[in-house]
Amino acid sequence: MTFSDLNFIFRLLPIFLIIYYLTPAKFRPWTLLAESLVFYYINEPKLIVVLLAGTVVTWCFAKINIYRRWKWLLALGIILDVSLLGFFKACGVLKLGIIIPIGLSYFVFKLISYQVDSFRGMISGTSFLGLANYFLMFPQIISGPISRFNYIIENDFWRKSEDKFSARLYKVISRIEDGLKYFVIGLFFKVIIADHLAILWNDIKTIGYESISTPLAWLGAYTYSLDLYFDFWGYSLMAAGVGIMLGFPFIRNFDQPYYASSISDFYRRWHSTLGTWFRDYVYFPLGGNRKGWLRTAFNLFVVWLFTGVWHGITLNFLIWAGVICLIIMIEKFVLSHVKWLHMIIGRINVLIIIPVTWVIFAIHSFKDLKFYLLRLFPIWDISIAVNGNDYIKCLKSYWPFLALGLFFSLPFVTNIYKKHKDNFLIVLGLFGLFWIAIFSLANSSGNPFMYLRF
Amino acid sequence: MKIKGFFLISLIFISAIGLSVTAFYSKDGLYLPYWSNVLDRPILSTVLTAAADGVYPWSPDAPVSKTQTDAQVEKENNINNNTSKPENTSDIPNVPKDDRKKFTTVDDSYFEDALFIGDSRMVGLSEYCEALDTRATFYAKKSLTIYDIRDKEWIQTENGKKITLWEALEGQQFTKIYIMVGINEIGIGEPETFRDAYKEVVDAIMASQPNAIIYINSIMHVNKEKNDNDELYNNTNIEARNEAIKQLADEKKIFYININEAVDDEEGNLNSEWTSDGVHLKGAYYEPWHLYLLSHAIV
Repeated sequence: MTFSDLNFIFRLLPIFLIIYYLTPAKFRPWTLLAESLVFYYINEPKLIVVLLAGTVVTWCFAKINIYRRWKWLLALGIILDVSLLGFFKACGVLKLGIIIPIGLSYFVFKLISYQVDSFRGMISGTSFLGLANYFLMFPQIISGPISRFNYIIENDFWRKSEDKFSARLYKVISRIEDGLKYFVIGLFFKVIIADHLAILWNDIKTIGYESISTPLAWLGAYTYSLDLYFDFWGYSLMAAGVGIMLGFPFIRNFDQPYYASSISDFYRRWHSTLGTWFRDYVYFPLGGNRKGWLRTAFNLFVVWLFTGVWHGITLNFLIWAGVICLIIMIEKFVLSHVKWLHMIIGRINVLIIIPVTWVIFAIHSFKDLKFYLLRLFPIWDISIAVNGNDYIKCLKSYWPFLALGLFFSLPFVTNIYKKHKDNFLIVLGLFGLFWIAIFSLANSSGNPFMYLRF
Repeated sequence: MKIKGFFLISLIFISAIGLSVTAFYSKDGLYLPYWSNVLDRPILSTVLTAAADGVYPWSPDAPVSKTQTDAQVEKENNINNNTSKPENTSDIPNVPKDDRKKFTTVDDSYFEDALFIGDSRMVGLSEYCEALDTRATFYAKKSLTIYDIRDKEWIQTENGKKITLWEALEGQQFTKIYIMVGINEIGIGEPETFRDAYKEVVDAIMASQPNAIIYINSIMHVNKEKNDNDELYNNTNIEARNEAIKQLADEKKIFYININEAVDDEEGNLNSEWTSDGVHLKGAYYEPWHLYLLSHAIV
């Protein structure tokens, strides 16, 4: 059950919130833990064992190491975590029939983050409840965002309040209202924009890449770029919104990435909780950019190699990561010396190269990828039976979703929203977006490809 | 005007309760066809699913679609009555014992007065087979079913108006008509009900186009992966329906052409190399279908 499921929105979430806030403040962490386990159990009734085992083992390690500070124990913990993820990923690649537990990679990221931060003395104490809630909290368990441990401590609703009942009730409801706004926007982004653009991307696949016109190939690249953006940004907003409803702070995962000034900047704004994770736990420990340009290049290479492999063990992810790593190096070592050139080429990189890298990211089969790239850049002709008007037909059917995608990508839309989010009309608008998304969900019954229609 | 606190949550709460009550109140009436297991999904979704079909809380209790169907069937009968005469006079007098016709090979000029009717796979044929698209007329639409062809206004005219096939055929004469539908309605009714609806359509077309030969294209198979994993859209179900519509062929004016001969692999599934979703041919592989039509023509 994901967040964009009618049963989650109208049943599970309200029930969770009511139980959570009926619990006395002191016991709310226990309620959250119980609810997180229920949520995960609904999604993954058997493999929940893996996460429970991981949580307990990490807790034992942390318990020992808070006094001993053994470096080897920290290393052992990290090796165990990485092997756990590696094992399930390898099973997937070798097709052994063992399925990876949902959200395992995000769980492992948190395990490592906790152990390192604890070792660095950034976490005081080793409360099992705090640790388990951090690892397993249901708003983040499936697909992030990857918070740090301090996120879990900053919750006012876990401390006894001296206010009167009515003041407390108002605080709770306006908190839920705050989270609900993020949730509604995220839901609309995911269900209306991303899921519909996904159909267009799928239509292109159905035609076969050898038969698409070059304009359609580019339309496809931008469609997929927007699809991925609104899918993940929408999901992150829903997750952050649920977190806020529970009393946690907002956690930002996307910050107008397509308005980045370069590809390095793009990856500071895109899925930034993953980016900062790699920065703090891989790039900086390797020395970051403080040990000369050769080491910097090597460190960047390591970070992107890990990022590529983490997304999947197929050639296309390595090419994807390789291309981005290479361009970041060029930006860093060459372009940064000529400011005006960096400004121009950086933007071009974001607006032209990033969509091409997303195509590489999306197409796992090397042969298909080759065909798609040759349709994007028709340096030699591999086309068969191309219909030159195909992109017009696609634009005619999908322009509303493309237009919505472009509109909501504009930074000024977000800025206006932030400024006026308590405005009567804006709230009415959100109300409309909510029911549009719900209407679409009710009629697609959870299938992103709507009904099966041929 | 600034609204702080709980405006949005109140609006959503009230409207959700309202929809749920509406759904519950009419669960034995208006929403009966949409009412599913209460445990599966929130009951308010009933109202939304129904609204997508044009059934609103204020709609009259009797399902609207029924009256529409009746009206259209009537219209169909009119067509039958109006145009049945020429057919009788021209065809019936010379009926020797064996006038069954055989397939021959033709060239593309054959399609100049041909009409193609079908679902998204026929749309694909029009988009990726230039030889046909430049010569023949296509009335094809994604998700089209035999029932849509019979009952609905589904053909878009140049001024954006939607009309029925019967209206579209008025004042036009085609000599070859190719039909391929059947995949979308595979979950609706039995092979026999499908065949009966198909027969109604074929009869009505013959009445309106007395000089036409009708080609019933077999429903195209799905590929092995789809066939093995899909309880509904598999080749067993497709073949059951192909067998049913095959019976409509009289080898005189109505012919069944098994285009699966052109697109199947050795195991009798749609060739996996030629499709990416298991259902539609890739743009590059409509040619075998085209060639099959060229070599299975009646003159």
